[in-house]
Amino acid sequence: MSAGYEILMVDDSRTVKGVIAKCLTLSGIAIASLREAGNGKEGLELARARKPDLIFADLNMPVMGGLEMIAALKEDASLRDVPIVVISTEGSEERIGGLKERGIAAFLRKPFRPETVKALVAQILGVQNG
Amino acid sequence: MSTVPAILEQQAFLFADPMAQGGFKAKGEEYLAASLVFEGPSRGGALAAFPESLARELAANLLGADPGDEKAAEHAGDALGEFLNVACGHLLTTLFGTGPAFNLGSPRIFGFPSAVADLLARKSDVLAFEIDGVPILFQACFCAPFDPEEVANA
Repeated sequence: MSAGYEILMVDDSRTVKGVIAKCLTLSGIAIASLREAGNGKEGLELARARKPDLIFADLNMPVMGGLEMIAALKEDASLRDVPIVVISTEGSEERIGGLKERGIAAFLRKPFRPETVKALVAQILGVQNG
Repeated sequence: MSTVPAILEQQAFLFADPMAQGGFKAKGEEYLAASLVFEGPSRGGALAAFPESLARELAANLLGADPGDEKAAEHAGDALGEFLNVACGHLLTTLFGTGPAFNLGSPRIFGFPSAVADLLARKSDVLAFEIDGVPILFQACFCAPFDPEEVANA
């Protein structure tokens, strides 16, 4: 039985990370650790230090943005299978389609409801709803 | 402009009603503001300004914390910037559809006295709303958004 899932949140907004953390707490899904990074470079470092089960990623971040981080993760044989959920206000269909072609697991447009995060995480991780 | 009330309700369970033109009157409290610029098929900027206590409430609602919590005060500026980011993104989609792509800059956070809020409310591209009787401002324009340094240097 899993002791819980390792989640990595990569976003330069403390508020967004707080909201995701709140949603995950409300979901009831067992979370072993919830790590935070403020940009794509930090996100890569944390992912390489300990492989997460799921990554939440913003796109527009300083130092290294989400697209560059996603590309680096997909080039890394040990990390390319980690599901990535992009969280953004992006509304362009072309850009969202491009993200999916890069192999992300899901795109979540802000604002989002806790129930949406719960359902998405459960689906991606294959968690049985209790 | 229905985007602003819709985002506030969905994101933070805050219910905003539009105020009549000329109806804005700040209540003496310092305002916290976030502004950003965007570029794409058109360029411009947006701004959101809340009294500081309401910005703390916004942060508290987003985080599921108490408005009096230290966390709400620490996150007030970031929360306001995040609201502006989401509202601007949705506004651009409403205006231009899902075809064009825009790049939104990182929000800049600053404050100004209530007297400046009263002056800002007179601009034709600034909308006023009230949340439980507390007046807020939202500006979206295809120009540079309000810059308090311009007022200071005028």
